[in-house]
Amino acid sequence: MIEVRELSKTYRDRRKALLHAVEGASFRCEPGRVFGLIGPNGAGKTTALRIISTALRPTSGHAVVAGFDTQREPARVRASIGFLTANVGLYGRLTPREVLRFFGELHGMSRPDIASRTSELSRAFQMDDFLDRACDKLSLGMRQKTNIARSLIHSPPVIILDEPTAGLDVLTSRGIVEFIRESRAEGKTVLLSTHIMSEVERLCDGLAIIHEGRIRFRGTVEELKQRHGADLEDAFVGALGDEPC
Amino acid sequence: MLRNIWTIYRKELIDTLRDRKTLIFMLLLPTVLAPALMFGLSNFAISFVKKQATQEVIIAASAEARDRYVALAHRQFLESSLGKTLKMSRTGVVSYLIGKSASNDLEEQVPAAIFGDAVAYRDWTTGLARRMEDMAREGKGSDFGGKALGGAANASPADTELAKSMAQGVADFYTVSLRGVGLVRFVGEEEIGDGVLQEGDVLPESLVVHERGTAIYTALKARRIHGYLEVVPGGGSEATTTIRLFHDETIPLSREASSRVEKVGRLAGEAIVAERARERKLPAGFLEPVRMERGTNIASQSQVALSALGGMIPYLVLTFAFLGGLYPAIDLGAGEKERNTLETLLLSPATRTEIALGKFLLIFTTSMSAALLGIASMAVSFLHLMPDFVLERLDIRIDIYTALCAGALAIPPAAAFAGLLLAISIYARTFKEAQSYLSPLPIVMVLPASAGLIPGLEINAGLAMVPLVNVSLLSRDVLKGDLHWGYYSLTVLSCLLFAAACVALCVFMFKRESVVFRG
Repeated sequence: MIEVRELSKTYRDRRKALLHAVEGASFRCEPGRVFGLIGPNGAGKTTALRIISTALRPTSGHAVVAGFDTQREPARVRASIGFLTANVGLYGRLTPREVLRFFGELHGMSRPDIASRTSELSRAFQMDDFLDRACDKLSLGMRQKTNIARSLIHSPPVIILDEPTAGLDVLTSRGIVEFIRESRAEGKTVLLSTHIMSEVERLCDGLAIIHEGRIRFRGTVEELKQRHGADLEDAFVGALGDEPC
Repeated sequence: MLRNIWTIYRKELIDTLRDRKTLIFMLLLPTVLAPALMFGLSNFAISFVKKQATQEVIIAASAEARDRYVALAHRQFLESSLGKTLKMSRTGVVSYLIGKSASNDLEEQVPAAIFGDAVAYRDWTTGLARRMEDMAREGKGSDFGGKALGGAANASPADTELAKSMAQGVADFYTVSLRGVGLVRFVGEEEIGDGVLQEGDVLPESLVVHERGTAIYTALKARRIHGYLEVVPGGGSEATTTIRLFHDETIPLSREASSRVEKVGRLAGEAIVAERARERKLPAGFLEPVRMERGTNIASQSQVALSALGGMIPYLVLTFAFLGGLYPAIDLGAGEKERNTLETLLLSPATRTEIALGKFLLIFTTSMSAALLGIASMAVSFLHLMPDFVLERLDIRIDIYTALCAGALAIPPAAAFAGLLLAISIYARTFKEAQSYLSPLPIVMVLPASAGLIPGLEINAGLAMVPLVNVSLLSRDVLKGDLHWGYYSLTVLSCLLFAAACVALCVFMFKRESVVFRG
């Protein structure tokens, strides 16, 4: 489960002026559900996800992931999440097997556990053919599969995805969508940040719309449509003008 | 904690070792090729200078000036120790050695060959050298003298010894001649023709007043001659003779001509003074009232060499260490940011400190490896590329204990470099930005690292606290066998503190959100 309460992140720009990347954001993601954090570019989605995954510290507010407070037990939080973005890189000179072993070891897994989990993930994502090929030599689809496997090597209960299909072709995107569905089916908590409305409609059990750092809508897709119209895209644009909630 | 640091270190090591660019451009090129080039170039420079010393120089002079000069050269030669040796050896041995000469009178023959016709001189010396080589090849045991004497089977032991000493004498003579006054070809002053000044040419004052100034200037500039000689005798028998050689210091052979003529003038002057002193039966002390005794230096040849060259070794080691860490630091910091792999690592259970230390250790490893590889490569290049006579003269000897004491001093600076380079690299947004931040650093690093090259600068308590300067100065002292444990301890302490500060800065940078997510 992910629980975010009154989360804020403030920066100072070069002129020392305050910039509110996230301001008083609150939402809750339950296990076995996909929660969408939706917003236009620069809305504060990535900042919020970075705070939840402990990469950034909040200026105020709290986030609890899998029962661990992000500020008090950041290492445990990181051990509980699998983080995936579309533009995340891979170590080009390592093979997918070595990448999985590296992250498995960082998660404190034993060599035999890593080996058996690698076989399991390789079967699940059809990675056998390229498991020992340098990542630099892999196609985009293969790299994305490797990245998914990397984020799942330690079987995390929480999956955080930051625009995971941005810039990917249809086939690779479908693979990601399938992966999200399977994670939900396995009872994992999935937090998905995206601005692709079709994905939101197909995947999200609940969502929050964020704009200029503040949450403008919190509810389900149906509730959003009821409030702002049947077309999801129109509803999304309409919600951007709502008062922060 | 250690497990995560080790995991990160091992992954970075595999990644770096597979990066051919790092291996070739940051490790192999500077550490292997650079010393090879350095000593190869030195060897080439030495050969070039030696070759220049054996090259013929062309000097224009009037017949009168040439005769006066040859007479002076003749006198200085006969007064030299070699001239005396040859004068005393009035045997057929020398005559045989120098070829099928009709004359056994060395006083006439040798100087004529040297100072007369250049072609004859060259043939003569070439013949001598070749004969000497033959003798060395053939000459074994008591048969040496016999063969040297043209196959005489009944050569006496005295002949053998004489042949040996003459062979040595010829070798010495050959060397002295080539380094000194030999190989001057005189041409008549009429051969320089009439010169015409080009636009922008400005005659020096000494030639403006000379009646053939323009011709001399243009002939020198066109390299048709390397010098124009004038010898003006003084009024009386004991008046000063003036030698004047117009030459161009910017042209190597012209400079060489000046050096040869100057040497003849100086030695001839000394020879004449010695002769006059003998004629007047002046005591030896008249010419040499004070003599500085030689051979009183208590330092070994190796220590003297290391005292002069020892500063170069820490300078190069520090440079290799710095360069060895440079590219990996950029790759592991800014490179990871650019490839979007850093965030994934930051979201693993490893703490920022563990990530920073794992990466730091890898850069420290490449830095130390480069230093060790560089020094090994320098040693091998030095032993194989420097000419034998240079090696014999320097006679550098460093024992294992000294090498370890000096080598240990490179460890803290390498750690400091690794910490500093990574701290700057992680601050940069991109690989290119990191390169532009780090490119000026070698210049900053060179100044303190070259402290050991400053003559007369000795380590003291104050300097022992200045990082890099202390390592440079102390390593030089340690290498020449002058190990002061007080300064050594201070140096190690200050360098460790500096290294710790650099590593702490690196960890601090990794913990800063504004740094790792900069851009």
